[in-house]
Amino acid sequence: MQESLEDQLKDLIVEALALEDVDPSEISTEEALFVEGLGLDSIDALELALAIQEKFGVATSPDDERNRELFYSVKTLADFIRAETDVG
Amino acid sequence: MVRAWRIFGAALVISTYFVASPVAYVAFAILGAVPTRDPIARARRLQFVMMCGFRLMHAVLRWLWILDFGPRNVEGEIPSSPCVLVANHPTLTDISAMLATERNLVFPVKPDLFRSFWARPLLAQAHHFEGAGPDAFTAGQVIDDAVERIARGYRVIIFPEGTRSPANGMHPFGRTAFEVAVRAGVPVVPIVITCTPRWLTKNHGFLNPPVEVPRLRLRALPAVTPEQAGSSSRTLRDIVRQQINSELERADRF
Repeated sequence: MQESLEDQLKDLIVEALALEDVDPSEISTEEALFVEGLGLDSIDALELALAIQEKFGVATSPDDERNRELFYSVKTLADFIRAETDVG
Repeated sequence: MVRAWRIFGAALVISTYFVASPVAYVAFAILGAVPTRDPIARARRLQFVMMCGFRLMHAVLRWLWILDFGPRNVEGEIPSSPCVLVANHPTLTDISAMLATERNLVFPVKPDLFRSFWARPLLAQAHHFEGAGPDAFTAGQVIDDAVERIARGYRVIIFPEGTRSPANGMHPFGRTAFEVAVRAGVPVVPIVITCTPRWLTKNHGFLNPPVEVPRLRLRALPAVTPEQAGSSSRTLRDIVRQQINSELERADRF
């Protein structure tokens, strides 16, 4: 069974950010990724953006006003990637 | 009576600052406009002027018994080689104290100030740089700018709490300063800032000075290298925060 885009993103988050104590299945799809929820910081945002670009070929610019909205949760990221590609 | 004098004295210094600063600004601007083939030499000249200005300000504050800080209030060794200085942030005078103590020091400036038409040319020519905005992705440019400054031979000071410390302890540390150190391959020097008794903190404002003259102290702890943290900015941050926290707890006990 093909892994959903959301599950792929959760695996990517744990792997790219080296979150050794976090299991991908524990990451909520709709909860905040930054500050609250998973508690990621600005460096994590940069590393995650790079990892997403490398894996899915999707990127935003650092001064894109949508960044905070797009990277809010796994769900918003997945929706963004789907909109930009044919994935999932 | 003493408190009233301290409020009056601080108001006097602040009002003098606002009167004198346009004069200083013009002098600063003239120095910045002097043609030179070496932008680094000009930046260091501007930084020197800034250091002298803050030294004078703190000397006046000390003479008027408002706030006790001077070069003798700095303990420990701050390396002259490129590094990242990381400090807690208890008072409003922390950055002026650091700039009064050390030359060859640059720092990220709040975006609103850095982008102002009157400040930007001089701050930029002094090789300070724009700090992070509310968007997490702006940290990338801050890191790049800081690493570039270190490559030019500067020391960079960053307050990783991002705002003044709470009444007791510190806010969580952001990781930007430590990511800079890892990428630039330079050590982090923890700086512990204390103000005893407390004043100009978040809970002890301008109109609430203590009876005793507040003493501002800077203490440099031994540098921590990225290698000691396994080149992990997360681990480096945790090590340095713990060191500063331990020193603050020790200072509170005495």
